[in-house]
Amino acid sequence: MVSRRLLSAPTTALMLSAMLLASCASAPPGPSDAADDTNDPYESVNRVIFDVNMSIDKYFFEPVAEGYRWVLPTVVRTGISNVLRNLKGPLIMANDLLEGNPQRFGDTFGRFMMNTFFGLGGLIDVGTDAKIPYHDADFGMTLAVWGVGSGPYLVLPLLNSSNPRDGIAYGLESYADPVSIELRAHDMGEGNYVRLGVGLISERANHIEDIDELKRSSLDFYATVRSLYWQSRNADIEAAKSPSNPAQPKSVSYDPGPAPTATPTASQTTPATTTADGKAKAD
Amino acid sequence: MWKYLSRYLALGAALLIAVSATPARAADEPGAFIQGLGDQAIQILQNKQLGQKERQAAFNKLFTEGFDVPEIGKFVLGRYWNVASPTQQQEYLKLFGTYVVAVYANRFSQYSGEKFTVAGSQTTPDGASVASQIIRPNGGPPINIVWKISKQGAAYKIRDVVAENLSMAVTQRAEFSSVVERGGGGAAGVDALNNTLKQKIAANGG
Repeated sequence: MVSRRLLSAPTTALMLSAMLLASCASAPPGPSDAADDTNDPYESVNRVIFDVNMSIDKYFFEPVAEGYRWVLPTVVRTGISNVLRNLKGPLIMANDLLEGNPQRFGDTFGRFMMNTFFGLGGLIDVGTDAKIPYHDADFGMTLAVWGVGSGPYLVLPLLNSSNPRDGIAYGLESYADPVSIELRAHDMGEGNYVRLGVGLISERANHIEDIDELKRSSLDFYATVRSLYWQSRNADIEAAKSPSNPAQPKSVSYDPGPAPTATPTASQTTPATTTADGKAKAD
Repeated sequence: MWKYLSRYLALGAALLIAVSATPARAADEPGAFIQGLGDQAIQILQNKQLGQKERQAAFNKLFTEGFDVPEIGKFVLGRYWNVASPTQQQEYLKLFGTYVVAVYANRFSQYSGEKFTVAGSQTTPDGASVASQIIRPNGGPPINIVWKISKQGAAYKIRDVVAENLSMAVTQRAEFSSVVERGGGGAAGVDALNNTLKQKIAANGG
C-alpha cells in the first residue's frame, strides 16, 4: 500500500513519458528544428513544468539542502554521497554489460567490491583513490547505445530535464534496479524512497552556489539548462559507445550560418604536464 | 540533474587558474598563451590597490586581448547576426563583451585554490586546442577543460572554452537565440536581447 503510493514519482514520469511518446509518434518533430539543437517542440508546456519545479526547488529543496549542509559536517555528507553512489553500482554494472562494455563493467565491478568491502559499505570511495574513475550509466544510455532516439526534450515533474526514452527507461529502471529489488524482497521497499529523497537533497546541497550563480548570470535559465542537458547527455552517451576513446568535445564552427563541423587534425602533441599550487585568493 | 551545471561553471575557474601553471614548454605556444593570460588574471586579483571599477576595467582589457570577442559574439548570436542591423550589431557586440566580463569577474572571486595542469595542445585547421585539467582542493574528480584557440597573424585568441564537453559558445548561443525568439525574433528580438543583456550586466555589477 504505502510503497505503491510512494512510487508515484517514477510512475508519474513513466506515464507522462509514455503519453508524450505516443503523441510524438503522430507528430514527429520536423527537420527544420535542426537549426537549433534544442529539440523542444513542447517548449511551452515544458516551461510551465520547469517553473513549477523551480518553485518547488526554491521553497523546498533549496532550503532543505541548506539545512542539510548546515547540520551535517562535510565528512558525513561525503560519506552519504559515497554510499548513494555505491548503491548505484549494480545497476551501472548491468547497464555496462547491456551496452557491451566489458571494460566499463570491470571498472564498476572493481569499484563496487572495493568500496563495499574495504570502504565500510561504501562510505569511503576507495575505488577513486585506487584510480578507478566513476562513470555513470543508466538504461536510457543503454537504449541510446542500441540506437533508440531520444525523442523531444521533456521537463518532468521533480526530475527536470529528460526525454521520452530516458523517462521511460528511468521508470523501468526504478523497478529493475537490483538494490531496489533486494530491498523490496526484504519488505523494505520504503528504503527506496528514502534513498531517492536523500539523493535529491544531497545532490542539491552539492550545488547551491553553482545554481545561484547560473541563475544570476543566465539570460534565460530554462534555455541554459536545456542546452547543458543535451550537451552533457550526448557526451555521456558518446563515452558509453566508445569507452576507450573518451568523448571529444565537438569542434565548433564560428560562421553565423549553418556550417559543417570541422575535424581537427592532430599534427602536434605536447605532453608537457605542469602543476603548481594556485595561491590566488580573492580578498 | 545539477551535476552538469556545476561542470559548466568550471569554465570560470579555468581561466583564472591558468594562472598558476609553471611555464609551458617554449615550443607549446598555445599553451604558453593560455598561461600568460592566467598570469595576468591572477595579478589583477592579487592587486589589492585596485578598486572595484579598476578591477573590472583591467579584466575588460584582458578579455578583449585574450578572447576573440567579436567572433564569439557573432557565433553566439547565430543566424540572428544577419538579421540584426549594423547599429544593433555594434550595440550587441559592446554589450556582449561587457556581459561576459561582468559574469566572469564574479566567478573569479569564487576561486579557491584549485590546481591547474596543461596537458598539451593540438593544432587545428584554424589554430589550436589546448587540453588542461583542474584538480579541485576538496578531492572531487578533476575537470577537463579544452581551450579552442585561433591564430590571427602572430597572435592567439580564444574562441571557446569547453569544460567536460560543455561548450561556453554553444551554451550561450542556445540561450541567446532563445531570448531573441521569445522577444519576437528578427530585429525586435535582437532589441529584446540587447535589453536583457543590459539588465544582466546591471544585475552582475557591470
